[in-house]
Amino acid sequence: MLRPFGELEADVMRVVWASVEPISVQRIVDILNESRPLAYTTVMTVTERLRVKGWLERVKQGRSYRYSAVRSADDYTAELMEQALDSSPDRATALLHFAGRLEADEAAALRKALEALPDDPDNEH
Amino acid sequence: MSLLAVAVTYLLLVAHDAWEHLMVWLFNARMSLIHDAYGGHWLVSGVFETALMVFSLGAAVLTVHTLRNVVRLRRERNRHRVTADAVSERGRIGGVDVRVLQHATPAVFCVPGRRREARIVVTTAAVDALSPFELAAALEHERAHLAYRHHRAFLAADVVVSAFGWSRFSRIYAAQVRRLAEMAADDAAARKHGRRHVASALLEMCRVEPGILAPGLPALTGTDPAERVGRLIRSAPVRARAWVSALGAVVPAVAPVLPVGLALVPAALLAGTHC
Repeated sequence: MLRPFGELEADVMRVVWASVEPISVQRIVDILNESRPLAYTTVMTVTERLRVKGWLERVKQGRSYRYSAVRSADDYTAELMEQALDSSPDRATALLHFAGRLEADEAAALRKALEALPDDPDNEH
Repeated sequence: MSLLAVAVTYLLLVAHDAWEHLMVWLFNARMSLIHDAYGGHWLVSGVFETALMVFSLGAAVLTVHTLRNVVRLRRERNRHRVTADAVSERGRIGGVDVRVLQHATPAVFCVPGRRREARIVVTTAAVDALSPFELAAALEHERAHLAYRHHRAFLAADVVVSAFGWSRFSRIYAAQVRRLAEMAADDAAARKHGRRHVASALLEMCRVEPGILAPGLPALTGTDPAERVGRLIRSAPVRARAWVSALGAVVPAVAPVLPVGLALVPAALLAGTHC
C-alpha cells in the first residue's frame, strides 16, 4: 500500500534520529527498504524537503551529502506535549485536547457525585 | 487592498444600475422617479462611499489576518503530525486509530487536519491511568471533534475575535464556541460509551498535577471541566428538540430574503408611475 507523503517524512525522521552519525540517503533507503520497497528518488525528495523545512541539515562527505537532525526527537515531543497540555484560550491553537484543569477539592466532590449515580443511568454499560 | 476596494466599488455601481433597471421593469415605474428614490443626496452618497472604503479596508485586513492564521496553524499541525508519526506507535483502541506516545504525563488530544492527516494521540501514561471504557470514551470525544470539524469553528471564532477586537462580546463568543464544541464531543462520546465513562475519564484526566500548571488557569479555559462533568452526571444527552431544529433551518432561510424585501419597498411605492 502506498503510504501518504507525510508518513514518509516521519519514517525518514525516525531513521535519522536513530542514527548516531550523519547518514546518507542511500543508507536511509536501505533501512526503510527492510520494511517495504521505496525508490531512491522518493526518499531523496522527502529528505531534501525535510531539509528545506528545517528538520534536517546536511554536510558534504566525499561525493554525497550526509544528513542529521537539527533538533532531537525529545525536543519535538516536548513541544507537542506543551501544546497538548496548554489550556489557555487566548490564541488559536493547533491541537484540540480532551481535558482541562480541575482543583483537587472540586474534582473530589464531582467524583463523589459520580459514584452516587445509579449504576445504569441510560441503560448503557 | 486598494484593488479590492476598487473592485467592490465597481461591482456596487453596476449592481445599483442593474437594480434600478430591474425595478423599472418589475413595477412599471418611471426611471427618473426610481433614480430619485434610490440615488440619494450628496451627503448620503458621501457617507456611503466613506463607509464602503472603511468596510473594504477592514475586509482586506481581516482576510490577510485569517490567511496568515490558517498558514501558521497548518504549519504547526504538519509539524505535530510528523512528530506524532515519528515518535509514537500506531495502534487501534476501541475501533479508533491512535498514535500511542511514550510519555509520563497523561494526555489525550488530536491534531486536526484533512481525513488522512488528522491524528488522535494518547500518551502511555493516559493509557495506564484510564480504564478501557474511560479510554474508549476519551478517544471517542476526540474523534467527534475531528468528525464535527470543530477546529474550523474555533478558527472562525478567532476571526470574529480579531474582527471585533478583544471586546466583551467577541471574548464571550469565542469562549462559548469552545464550550459548546466540548459539550457536543462529550455527548457524542456519551452516546457511544455511556456518560458515566466520559465523566469519569474527564475527572481522571483533569487531576491537578502540582508543578505543571500555573495558578488561575482553570478560570481562563472557557471550557470548564467541572461544568462538563456536572452536566454529564445530571442529565442524559438529548437530541435537539424538533422546534429548535426547525428554528435553525428557518432563520438562515429567511435572513437573506429580508434585506431584499426591504430594498423593494421604495420601488413598490412607485409602482405603475410609467405611462
